[in-house]
Amino acid sequence: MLPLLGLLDAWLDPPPAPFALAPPSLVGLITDTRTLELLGRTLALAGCVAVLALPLGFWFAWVERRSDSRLLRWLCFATLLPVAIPSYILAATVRESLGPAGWLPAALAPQSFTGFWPAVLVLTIVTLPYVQILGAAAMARLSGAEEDAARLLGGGARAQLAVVYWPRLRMSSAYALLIVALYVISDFGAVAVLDTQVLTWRLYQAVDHQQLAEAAALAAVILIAAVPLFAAARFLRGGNDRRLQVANPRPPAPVRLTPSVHLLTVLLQVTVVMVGVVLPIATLSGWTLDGLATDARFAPLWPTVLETVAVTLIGTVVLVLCALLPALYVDRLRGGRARWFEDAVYAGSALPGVLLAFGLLLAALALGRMVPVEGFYAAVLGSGILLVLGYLMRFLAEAYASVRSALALVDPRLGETALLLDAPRWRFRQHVLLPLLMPGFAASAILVWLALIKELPVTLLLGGAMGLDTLAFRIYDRYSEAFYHDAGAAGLALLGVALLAAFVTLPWRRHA
Amino acid sequence: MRTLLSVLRSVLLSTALLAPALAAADDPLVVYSGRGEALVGELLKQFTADTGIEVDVRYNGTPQIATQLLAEGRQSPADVVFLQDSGYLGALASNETLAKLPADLVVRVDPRFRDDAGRWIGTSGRLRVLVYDSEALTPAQLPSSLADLADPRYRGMIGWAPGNGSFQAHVSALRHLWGEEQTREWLQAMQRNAPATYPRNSAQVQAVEAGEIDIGWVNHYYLHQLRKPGMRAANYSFPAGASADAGNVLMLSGIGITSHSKKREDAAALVRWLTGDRAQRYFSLENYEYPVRPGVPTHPDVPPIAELNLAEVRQSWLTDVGPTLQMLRELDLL
Repeated sequence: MLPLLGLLDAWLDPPPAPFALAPPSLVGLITDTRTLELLGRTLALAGCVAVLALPLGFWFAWVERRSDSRLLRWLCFATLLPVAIPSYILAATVRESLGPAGWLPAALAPQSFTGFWPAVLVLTIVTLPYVQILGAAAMARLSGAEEDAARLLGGGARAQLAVVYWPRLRMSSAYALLIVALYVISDFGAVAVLDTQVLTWRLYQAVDHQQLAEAAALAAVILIAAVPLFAAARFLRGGNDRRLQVANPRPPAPVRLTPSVHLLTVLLQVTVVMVGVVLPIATLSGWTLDGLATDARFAPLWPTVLETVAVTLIGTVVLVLCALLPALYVDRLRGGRARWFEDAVYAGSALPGVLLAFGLLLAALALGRMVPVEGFYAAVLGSGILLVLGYLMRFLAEAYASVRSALALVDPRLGETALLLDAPRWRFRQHVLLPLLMPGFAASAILVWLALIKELPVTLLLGGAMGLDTLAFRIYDRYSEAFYHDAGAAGLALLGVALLAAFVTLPWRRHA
Repeated sequence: MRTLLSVLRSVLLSTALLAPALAAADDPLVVYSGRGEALVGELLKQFTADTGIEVDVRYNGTPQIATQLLAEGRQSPADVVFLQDSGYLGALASNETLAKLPADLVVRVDPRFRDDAGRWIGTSGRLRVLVYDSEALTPAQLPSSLADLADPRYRGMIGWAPGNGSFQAHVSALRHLWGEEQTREWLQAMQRNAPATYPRNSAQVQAVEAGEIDIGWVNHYYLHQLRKPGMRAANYSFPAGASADAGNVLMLSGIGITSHSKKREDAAALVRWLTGDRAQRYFSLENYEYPVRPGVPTHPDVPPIAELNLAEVRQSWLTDVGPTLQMLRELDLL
């Protein structure tokens, strides 16, 4: 609520607007054909990306968990990496590499690789890992016995999907839909580079031209745009919390895919890895090598790498722990109130980072006007409180989704059994609950870690007072000023940190 | 919930009590910098080494800094504002966010490169140029004037960045040089040439180098920052004719001191240092920018300012961005 209150304050009492653009009314803005056009394109983009990323992500998650092919499982690991690449960098490399002067033969190359469908491609590749991680966590403790039972009762693959898989995956799929769609709605980097005009385009223009009242009104439009998504997620999630976890499930047997499905999967994975990993690495390496060839001076990288790892690790731990509180609360509450509370957790992700950060800043300023202490606002800004709040609101949904999914699958009868057996509560938590929740925690940690590594607008506005020098800032700064050699080196380091994050959490995610 | 509120109340109270103590203790000079760390980070460290004045630099985009500062008003911790585009300095000055600079500071720079009322001064300049693909075009095939860039023969060859501050400032200057109607017609003619849109200037230079477009409309120094062996991208300024062409405009980066700053002396020391010989040489020789003080040489790869037939543009024209934004919105460019 805090950023919304800040934005509301700016709407009711707008700060000076030096470029003298009259702020539109909320009704005027909503009924403006231009806004409606941008809204329609935003929702279409979110819809198309979700339609592609969800099935593909869940398929990759299934392959990661169940396939007997080492190649497919390693490719699944590689398909996670695009999530760490800032979307504007991925968009820029895709625009250049697949454009008229890119890698494609002249006869196949488009006149310009910009617009709606390239944006769908880039955003699908960036968001797909979120779905894959969530899906893999939900599938971590599938029971082989249940699959066998379904098969023995004559159920084919479709019946297994409906009876065994879907009840366990519907909550994860609902959360994945929200995360993907809200990511798309709030993204600016990819759409700006690929010249796709959506609501965030207008929003950034408003912020850039000191039209905070208009930005606040656009925030309302963005939240309105998110309403159908919340409804769709509720529908997908279903009405009941199902307790379907088995305490010590026998892992299902690895599955050998038919050659045609195996080939199709490899093709899909290679496409994602080529566009989402190889193209950016080639481009970033090219920039770095050009710098080396021309004896360009490189800025020191190690301190920035260490600072990025430290800041993002601390942020990850804090966020995952913070996500546990609402997850436990919703788990106990359930019903209508729980769903509203849950929607509120996700609403923060609908606000683009720059708007969320300005909302918090404006709220602190309003508070500063009320507290008769000189330097109050500056002290709050310098304390890091706003930065922590910004990260919490921006990424709580990512952290929450997997923790909540894992909690929802825990059978309450396990706790009751432990009580009947007179087992101490801590032993139940250590030996039963924690192992059951571990895949959820690991998925939550990697989702948040990868998201924090590339975060920029909140860090820039709210972390500036703390002197944070992260890799994401280095890339943005050097890319903006055409210091491509430095941007390339920082980009490669960022990918290295992402790889580290993926490796560190791999054992928990895989063997939980 | 009650516990949460009480914790929140305690945090706010302790922050309020601590605020004066935190603010009083030997605070560094707070600089809001819209200029990238790549361009000025080393320079500001050198300032501290030379003067002993600690600087707390907070980087962000120039537009966001202007928005933040206007929202913060007198609560802002900023002492100095160092921005990429003078248009935003003008916007801040018109809202009384900037203090009048001491007279001895104002006269340090060429009169063309400062605010008429002395509330900000330029620190360096960037020339608006065309960047072109020298493997696809010869200089003779390039337009002889900015107006000529809208000629249909350049259809499908051009890139531009309407969301960029320099673009908007330049169009603002065109409105004053050409008039509203002619500027609107020129923009419409440019639109008919189907230009590729980029979010920033550096991306246009990269696109020309990659062969994606033939001509970009940018600031001159991005090309020099691009480190690449055997580059095909090259800069082009409109030839000096009988009158200066509207395409040859010098955009300023500049600096001002906030009207509420309590560190005016330290702030003035920074302004003085940045307009001093050492910093001006850094802008010129390391960043390939134009110095604003007479007598400081430009980089050998950059044409000296005396050789350019610059359009006579008042700083107030470059800062008159409001009607430009309105025009760009009406043309669906924003």
